[in-house]
Amino acid sequence: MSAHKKKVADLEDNQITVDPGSIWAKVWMVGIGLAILGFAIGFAGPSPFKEDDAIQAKLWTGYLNGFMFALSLGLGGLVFVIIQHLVRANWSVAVRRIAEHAMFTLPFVALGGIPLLLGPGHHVFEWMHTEHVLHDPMIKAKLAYLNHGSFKARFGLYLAIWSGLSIAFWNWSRKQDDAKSTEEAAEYAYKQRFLAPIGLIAFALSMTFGAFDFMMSLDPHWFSTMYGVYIFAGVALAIHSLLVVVIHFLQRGGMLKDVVTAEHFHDLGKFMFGFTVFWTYIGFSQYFLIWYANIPEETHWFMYRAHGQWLNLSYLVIFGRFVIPFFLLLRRGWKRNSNYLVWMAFWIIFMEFIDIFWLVQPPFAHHAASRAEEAGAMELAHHFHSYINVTAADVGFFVAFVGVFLTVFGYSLKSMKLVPIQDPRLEESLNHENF
Amino acid sequence: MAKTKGPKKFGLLAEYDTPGAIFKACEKVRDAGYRRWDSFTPFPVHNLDKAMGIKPSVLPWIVFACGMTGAACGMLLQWYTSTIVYPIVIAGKPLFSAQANVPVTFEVGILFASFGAVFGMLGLNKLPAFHHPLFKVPRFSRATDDRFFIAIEAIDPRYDLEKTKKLLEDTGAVKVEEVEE
Repeated sequence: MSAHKKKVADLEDNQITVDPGSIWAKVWMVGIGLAILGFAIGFAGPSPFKEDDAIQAKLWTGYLNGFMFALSLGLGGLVFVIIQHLVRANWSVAVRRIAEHAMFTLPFVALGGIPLLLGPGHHVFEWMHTEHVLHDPMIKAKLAYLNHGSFKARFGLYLAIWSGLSIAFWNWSRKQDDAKSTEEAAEYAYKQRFLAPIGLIAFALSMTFGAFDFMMSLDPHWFSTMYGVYIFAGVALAIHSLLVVVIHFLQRGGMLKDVVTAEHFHDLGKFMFGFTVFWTYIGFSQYFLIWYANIPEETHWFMYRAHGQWLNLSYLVIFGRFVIPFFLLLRRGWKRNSNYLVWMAFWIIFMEFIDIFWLVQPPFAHHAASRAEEAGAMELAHHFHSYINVTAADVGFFVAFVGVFLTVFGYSLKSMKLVPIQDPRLEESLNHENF
Repeated sequence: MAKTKGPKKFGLLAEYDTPGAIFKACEKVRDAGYRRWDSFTPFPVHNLDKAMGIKPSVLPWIVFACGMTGAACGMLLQWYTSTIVYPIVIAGKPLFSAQANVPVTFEVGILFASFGAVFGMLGLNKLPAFHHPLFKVPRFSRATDDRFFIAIEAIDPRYDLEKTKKLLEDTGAVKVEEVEE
């Protein structure tokens, strides 16, 4: 029983709307700038390689890297919104709108996958080289799934699911804000709750197979049935961290002050901690079984991540994704203080990018090393095996896709209120308290 | 404070009939500086811990220490058994490898942390206790139904029968009575 109970009607307008003069209303412009700059650097930046093959392969690997990072933030927004509706969560209503903005980027960011379906895909996906595949019995056996036509069809399906769900939830939430009566507002809440279970199943399948198609197929000899769950763990970490970052800085800008409290940050922090452990559990289980069984077709995926600088990167993933956040998110007080939590949130988002780098970049180096070996250039092969090449393309496409994300996110942010003002459960969320 | 003759006293028990009343009463008792006292409610009252001025428990630190000890013990146990006492090569793996030992290390860490949580909680609450003086008061059984209670123990340094009784009566208690040890 607290001293006073907060009422939705008492919320001041400047707390729940973005001031048109503030930097928050211009985030979308910053996004456009970053996107233009990033794509320019990505496509036109210098490359350390001489052969056109290597230049193109590295460029499109960087593209895939940036694309997957921005996509994971959008997917995180979608699954967060779906789950909150599915379980009728009260606590999250005050923070859900920010996740809805992230979710709304999905239909736009996902379009970034189109070039990879067309010509440039050949530079990163080995299985797209038909003449190569026909001599490889292992890839040949997977042709029914791994072929250009069905890849395009599946991508069309992912795009439809992601866009359909995002736009539906976003629209209903938006219309709910303008509802004329509480009955009408409740109607939109029911609609979203009805779509949630269907959406969750569609999301789980599309994200899992999307991860198979865009990342696991980079090394078509290897497979892991846990791969989709592994990606999901990263996606879930990223969205909870993103909410902490955005809301912390909105509060620094004077908004949401009495709306989002230490209680909400505490819950977000608990989810960051929980999914850190979940990621470790999934990542270790995947590694452990492969290590124990010791079958060459499975172990080679880890082998080329265990050489030279790649091994250091693997250690960074272990320490940065498990050891550091695990110990630094343990204490209750640290989760309740957003000044502290925001640093952990930044770190986890950074590690999401590093994790995707760790998944996407080593196959490029592995293939480049094999090609160099075939051509007799042993020194070059050794270079690819042992050193991580970070090029202008990697940086450029990272900036570019963050820019695309911010453009849509910023547009959505300034066009709506900061909380779903007519949601029937908003008042419970405002007064939410942890035991 | 003059010692009263007769049976030893446990302290004073005050009864309230609403959660709001006990919330305000707790704030007053807290502000009066009492330390050895407790409140009893039939259901959790939000923020009552703040009204009572209870400091965060040390239990998390006990659990953390136990968990880390358990993890270390689990790892040590496996290292000792598989390299010193029974060095058997299995599936061509090294005698000791960090990977193979993670599950047991984790499990023993969890086991010890759970022990720390359960027994630490019992220890901090001085449980199990076979008897408590408050159970002698018939009205106290309504603490599990519809009444709210505050008990201030006689061993509290600020305890004074008259003054404490007055304080509790001033907080709006329905009834205040002295409880025997």
